[in-house]
Amino acid sequence: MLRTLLLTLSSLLAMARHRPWEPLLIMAAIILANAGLVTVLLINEGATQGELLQSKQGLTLGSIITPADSRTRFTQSDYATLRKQGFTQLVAIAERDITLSCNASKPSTTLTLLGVDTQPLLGSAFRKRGFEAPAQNDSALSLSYLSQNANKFSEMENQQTPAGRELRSNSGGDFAVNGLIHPLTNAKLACHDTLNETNRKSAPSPYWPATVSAYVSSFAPQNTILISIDDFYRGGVTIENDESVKPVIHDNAKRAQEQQVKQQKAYVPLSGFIALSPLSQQHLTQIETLLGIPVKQTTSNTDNDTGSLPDSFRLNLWAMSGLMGVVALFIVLNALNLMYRTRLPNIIRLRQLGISQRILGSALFTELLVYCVISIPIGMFIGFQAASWLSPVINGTFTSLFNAVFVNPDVNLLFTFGFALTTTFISLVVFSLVSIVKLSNALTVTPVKKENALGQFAVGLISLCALLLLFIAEGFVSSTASALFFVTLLLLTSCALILLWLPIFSRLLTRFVPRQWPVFHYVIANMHLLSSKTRLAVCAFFIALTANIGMNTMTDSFRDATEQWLTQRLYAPFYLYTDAPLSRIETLSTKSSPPLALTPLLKAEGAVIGSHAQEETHKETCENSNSSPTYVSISSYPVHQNGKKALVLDDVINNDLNTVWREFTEGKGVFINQQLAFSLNAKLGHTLDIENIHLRKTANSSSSAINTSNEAYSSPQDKTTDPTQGSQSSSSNSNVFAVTPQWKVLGIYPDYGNLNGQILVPLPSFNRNDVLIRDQLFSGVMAIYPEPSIEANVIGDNKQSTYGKDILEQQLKSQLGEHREIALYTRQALLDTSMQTFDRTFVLTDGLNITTLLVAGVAFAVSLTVLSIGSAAQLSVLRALGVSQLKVKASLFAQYLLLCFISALLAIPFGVYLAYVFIQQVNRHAFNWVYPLSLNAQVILSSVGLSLFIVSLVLLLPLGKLKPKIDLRQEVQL
Amino acid sequence: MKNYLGSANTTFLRFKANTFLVLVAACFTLSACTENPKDENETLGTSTPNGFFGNMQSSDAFTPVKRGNIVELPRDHMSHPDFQLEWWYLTFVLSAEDGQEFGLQYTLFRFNTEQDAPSSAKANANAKNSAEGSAESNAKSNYNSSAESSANHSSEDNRHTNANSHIARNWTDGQQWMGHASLHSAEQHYFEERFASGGVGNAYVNQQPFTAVIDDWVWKAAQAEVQTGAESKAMFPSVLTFAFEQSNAHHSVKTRGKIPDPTADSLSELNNAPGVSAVKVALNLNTSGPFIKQGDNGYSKKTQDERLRSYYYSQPFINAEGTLNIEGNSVEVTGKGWFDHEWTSHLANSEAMGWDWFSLHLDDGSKLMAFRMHAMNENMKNSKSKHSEIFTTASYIAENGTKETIEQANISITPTAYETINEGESPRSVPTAWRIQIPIKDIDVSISPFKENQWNNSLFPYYEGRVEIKGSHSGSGFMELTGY
Repeated sequence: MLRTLLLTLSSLLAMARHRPWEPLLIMAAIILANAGLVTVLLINEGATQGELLQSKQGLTLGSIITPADSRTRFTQSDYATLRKQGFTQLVAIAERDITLSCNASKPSTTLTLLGVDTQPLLGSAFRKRGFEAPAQNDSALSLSYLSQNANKFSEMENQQTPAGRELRSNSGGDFAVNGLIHPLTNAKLACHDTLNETNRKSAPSPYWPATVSAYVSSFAPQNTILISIDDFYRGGVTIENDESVKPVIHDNAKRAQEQQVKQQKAYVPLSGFIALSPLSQQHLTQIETLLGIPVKQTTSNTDNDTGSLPDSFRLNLWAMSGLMGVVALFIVLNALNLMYRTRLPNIIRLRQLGISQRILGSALFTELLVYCVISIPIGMFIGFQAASWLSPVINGTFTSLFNAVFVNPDVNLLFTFGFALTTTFISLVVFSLVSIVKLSNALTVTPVKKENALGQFAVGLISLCALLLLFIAEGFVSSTASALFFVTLLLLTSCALILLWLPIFSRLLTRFVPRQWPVFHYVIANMHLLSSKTRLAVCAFFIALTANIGMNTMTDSFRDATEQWLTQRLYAPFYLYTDAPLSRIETLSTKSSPPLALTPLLKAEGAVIGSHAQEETHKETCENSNSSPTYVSISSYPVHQNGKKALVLDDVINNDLNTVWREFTEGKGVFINQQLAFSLNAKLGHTLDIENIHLRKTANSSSSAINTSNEAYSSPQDKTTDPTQGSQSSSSNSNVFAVTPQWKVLGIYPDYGNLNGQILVPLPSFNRNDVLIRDQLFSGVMAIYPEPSIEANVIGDNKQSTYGKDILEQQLKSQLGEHREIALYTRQALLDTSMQTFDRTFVLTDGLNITTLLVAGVAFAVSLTVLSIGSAAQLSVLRALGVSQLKVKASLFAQYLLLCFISALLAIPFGVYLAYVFIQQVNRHAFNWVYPLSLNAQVILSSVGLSLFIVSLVLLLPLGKLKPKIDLRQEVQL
Repeated sequence: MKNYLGSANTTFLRFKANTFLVLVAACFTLSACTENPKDENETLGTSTPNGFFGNMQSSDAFTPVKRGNIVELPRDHMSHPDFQLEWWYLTFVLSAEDGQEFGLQYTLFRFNTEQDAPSSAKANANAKNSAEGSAESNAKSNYNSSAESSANHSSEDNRHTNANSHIARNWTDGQQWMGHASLHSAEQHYFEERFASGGVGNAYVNQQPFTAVIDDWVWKAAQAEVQTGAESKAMFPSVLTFAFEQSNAHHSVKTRGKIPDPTADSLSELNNAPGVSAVKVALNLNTSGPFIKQGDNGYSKKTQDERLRSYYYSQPFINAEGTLNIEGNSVEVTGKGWFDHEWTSHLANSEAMGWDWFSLHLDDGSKLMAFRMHAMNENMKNSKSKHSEIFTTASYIAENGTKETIEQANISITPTAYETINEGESPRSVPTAWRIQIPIKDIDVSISPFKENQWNNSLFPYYEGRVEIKGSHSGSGFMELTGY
């Protein structure tokens, strides 16, 4: 029994060796499907883990207390005082920049060396409640490393610790320090192992002869090496500003040492205190009383600005991988068909030898299993490779633009393999059954098939109905899931339609091709015949191409929209990103040598509880009363002419920009972004109900202001015409607005990549008098442009503006102080960076597009081989008629290309429709924003061209092999 | 962390020997020592703690404990930074008017992290020193002089260049402080552990007035100026105030506050600290008897051959009265307290495996300090079997304050029942009921725990809890079991 099975199997494998083409195709399809799946799986997993990582960035979760006046610094005794008064949630930190370099070839990296008082973190209060549960083990272990005072690593490494990185200071390695490094930062570093003190002219590098063993832990913030503050303040790094060196000199050698130390001393003050739990206003007041200096609390909100692009990116990936899977299935189906078709004679012989059907069946399945077992690991390996090859790219993409993290995920290899094997094998079995059944049906029944062609009229009617149904279905799309479902529906419907229309088209073509060119006529006529037999391949190609066109059009539209939007929005030649307080920057405009105008970006937060139509026309209110408020950020928008030019609005009341602009500048209304408009279902002219307007979480607590607008509770009439309200608020010190604007929606603007609602409020409406509040409102972004009087000289002159950038940078540095973080960008640089990042994001899409097309091409190639067996007789006739072999091949080639071309033509409208659905339905529901669909002929044509090119390449393979003559000795009549 | 705690569980001994840092490393390498506790039990007929202090040998770099040196008070209330480790240990047996009983613990530990610097760093330092002569002799002469003037030590400038490493420390003085606070009521156990660096200013032991501080946990003598000879006034009367453990009651507020209240500052909802502690303790401490220098004038041997030893004195006659505020409910309490102060450089050692320690207030007014030290000697280390050497001793302190050291031959301390502690990674069996027999003092008492599971789940967990005494005498006290 087993022997028979083995014999059968070996004969099957021998057949496979004899005709290796089909088994290889099957294996290739399996490899492809698995590789694609694993890649997508890994990338998504990595992104998810990256997000998790970021959300549990241990230390940065808390808020930081610093002196309100940036010139004063906390001292060690301040710290002791606070802790002794019970502020045990405060942890002292200090930081300075260090440079990591490997050798001359690679550029060096600058990281922040962050010293944290790890002692309090070891306490039970921290261990128990401190941080998020998943991070807890990690952080505790990490901390134990930190407090390990040095070189115990030989032992520690026996434990399964995350890989460490040894960094030696260039001032010697005399004491060992344990440090933590964020996985992402670690990934960015290559061979960097020399730790240099930053060589700034102003500060000579301090004497800090450490060997840092940096352990990978998500507890550390990014771009930072976290060490204990004890190790931080060693050697020449001191916390005391005075130069009195301790007279603890034991001997001459030591004295010399001290001398050296003295030379390389660096005064590094405490950067602040991390508050492991945020402090209330009351506590801050208490701290201020204790220390005698005003303090402020800054909360790092790393979590909110990630935006939706990683999500859309992931969606994109999944869609592509799904397509790839489907197409791979098509290949397998085709290849199996072909393989069993060619084996049929041998199988019959085997049956005649008395091998039971059961054994034959199990031998066939075993053969499939062998293919699976061989090809799945290969596929997975390729997938892993691809993912790790792609991940640096993704890494960069994710971090630079979306502020999300991507890490290399660790995946259970065995589980993945088992899963892949089971699914692949099961689907293979199902497919082989399909083709076997089909084959045996063909053998047993052998019906004289009558072409049951539907009349053109019927086809037209059906198509019309299908399209109509599709349009109706689109109306019901109301969520992301249903939008995706609709995409599937669209693809399937279009597939069905293509199958209906292809014969008709080809028949039409046959009619038009004159009979003077017999070969060509044969080609067309035969193609019509083929079209019914190559359904699967055509479907695969069609779906791949439609998706391709849809995806590319969507991406292209997005790119256009983004670029246009950015170009218009970035109106100033320079943008300054800084951590300096607004009050200090504002003095710049007066001091700078060419007079500059500065426009800061101010931000506040609020909650929108709903919107309602203008009361003047109809009394009924509250069209939409969301029970839960929508949190929005309220941003300032300049009211000068540049601002007006830069404003991009999708929708404007009465389409009258000038009127709207005037109303906006007068505070009679605001602009909202699409996201908010969609989520509130707010229309132009509606009035928003806003409450709880407050400073952002970074709020300086000595001025944490809450301006509860009464509007939410008062009647609509009051809302729109209440001039007293503004003045009332401005009388209070703790108000965001000097004059509260009316929350009437004047226009809706696009805000790509933002997940949250946003409201633009005229800049003058914000509080102008209170310096503290203004500093808090300031988002750290400032538009800088020349005074309008000399504007003409600078704008548009690229050379001059780069020249100006250096000058400006110097001026800024000199006025704000060296220690301030300043990043000055020219408009063009910002634009370029954004667009580069954008392009990099969608590199992967291109790759997947090509893969999908390739797979579709393979499907075609397979079906060609199947058919060439069937049409061997006709081809022989052609050859006998004296048509050259090349011509026969060319005619076959032309047939398939024509088939492809027709389906490509049909794919274009569906592709565009798909792009529209992607933008208007999927994007709309998943991310709450849409952008205009821009049809770019070049994009579409290049998609079509590329796909035809790929298919033709693939077709050349079997065609090259094809021998259009029959060896009668080989032929088995069935 | 799990691995780390798992092995650490077995490692912690009372005084936690060396810095826990070294212990961590030690426990990784020595985890083989922890196997087969059952074997030991069988061969010894008793429970043997299966832990150890640490892998580290007593370093010559630290000041050694010498028999001739007499503990002098109040001078030696102070910190002795040149010794490797030190602790100030307060335990209280408290009762409220309404009959509630409590066990309270406040402990401050000090570790010298400086001189147990890693071998490489030490090698560097030694290389440096050897230019001038023997590093050891240097160090020793240093310590002798510093021992003499140890009273002044803490007031010395924090930022000193340490002797062992030539890289200056500018944040700490190389000392590490650890505080433990624990309260047992009949139903609840509150515990908090804190760490701080020395020299920063938030953890220290100071003289004039005597103050032992870690963050806002403060034990402070009432008398600012200490007259010479007024030995007892230097430390008592004093006030002990500390608040610990996150209050549970507060969390409910957090979860409720999901919908933001526009009128309230949401930050204040999240945190009220300082002031969210579950337990607030304020006790006035006074004494009704003298300080007791344990062993030979404060020189306390921990093994028969004295290779493990410490300086050790106690104040068993503390009367405490004050307020416990537990989750917002104030209770007036009174009771007895016991203070231990011990410093040594010889217990941070793999030979010290743990101990069973008793401080008992007997009802006749006398006090009893007794311990069983589990140690390993050289032979045992080399041989495969893991038998530990047990050294038992006790001090009987009569009501009038006269102390008598009970030698090993005259005392028997035997476990009578075991309790399974399910904290940490694996359950452990801990002997929580004991029989102590001292025939020459007509003492035969059984010790039973005040309640179950008096386990301090600290970084290096141990058993520390109130006990009740029955038998020839009755009373209550505290028991500490480490190395389990």
